[in-house]
Amino acid sequence: MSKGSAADMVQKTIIDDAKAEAKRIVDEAEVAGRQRTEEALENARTNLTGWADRRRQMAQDSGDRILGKAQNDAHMKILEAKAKIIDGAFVHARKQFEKERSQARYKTFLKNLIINAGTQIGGGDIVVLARKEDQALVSKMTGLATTISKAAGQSAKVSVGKTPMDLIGGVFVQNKEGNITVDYRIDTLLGQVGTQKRNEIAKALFGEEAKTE
Amino acid sequence: MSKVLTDIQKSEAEAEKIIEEARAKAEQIQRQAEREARETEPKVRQELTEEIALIQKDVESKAKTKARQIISKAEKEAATLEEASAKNMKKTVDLIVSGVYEYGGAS
Repeated sequence: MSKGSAADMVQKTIIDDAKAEAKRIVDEAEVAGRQRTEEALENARTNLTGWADRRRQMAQDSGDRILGKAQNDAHMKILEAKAKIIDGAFVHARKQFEKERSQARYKTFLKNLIINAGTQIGGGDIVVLARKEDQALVSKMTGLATTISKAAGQSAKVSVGKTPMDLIGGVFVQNKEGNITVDYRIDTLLGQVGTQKRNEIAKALFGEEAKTE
Repeated sequence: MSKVLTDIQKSEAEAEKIIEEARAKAEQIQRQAEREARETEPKVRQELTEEIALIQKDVESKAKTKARQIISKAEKEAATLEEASAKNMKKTVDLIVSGVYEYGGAS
């Protein structure tokens, strides 16, 4: 081996070793860098898991809210439609009463209402308030005071209020002082029927129980 | 002999330079990795936000379509109720009128 060649070999070895060391340094840095990136990604995913899950759930919930509101609105539409139809039946019933005034059963009905009311008041001076068309009818009724007296256990006197009431039928009955009253106006009774027979009415109309609230 | 030494010293200097450059590059790689690490969470958050926004848009779109179907079905049902109840109206009115007459004991 020549002298020059030996020196060259030493020089080459120095450079090769340096390059190997340089490669090791860079390789290690790259491995560490990749690890750092992976760790950062893993940490970010861990840190954001709860947040992302809540946001995903909120996204799903927004769909559920839309559907819930639609179902509620749909339910309300059906209920409103039923309520409207039931109201319509009461409008028809009210009109029916306007036609009933001349019928015998209406007269009997009116008489019974007065007797019931007079009995509830407990006899005494009973004043019957009625619509103009019924005032004469009530005036002509016989046996009212006697029946009320018997039922109430106290003598009774029945008179018709002079001022006619603005109503479609029925009576508003009170004692002389006006502090005890019984409201048997048709509109009031229709309201009571609407409350008490709501399910029956719905069943008659729709073949099912009422769900109008 | 002195030339050999000089050459070797030159090689050592060059080797030192190679290693220094490698260290500088390693530091650069490390700084780059640190910068990317700092940016990772905001980047992941942004990606998730976009992904969830798409999910929400899809969920809402499907829900709105279904909601329209639900409302449409209810409207049809309401119309059907109206038609079906018309044939029962007379007996219902009779029921109401009878109910009122019951207050006078004459239904």
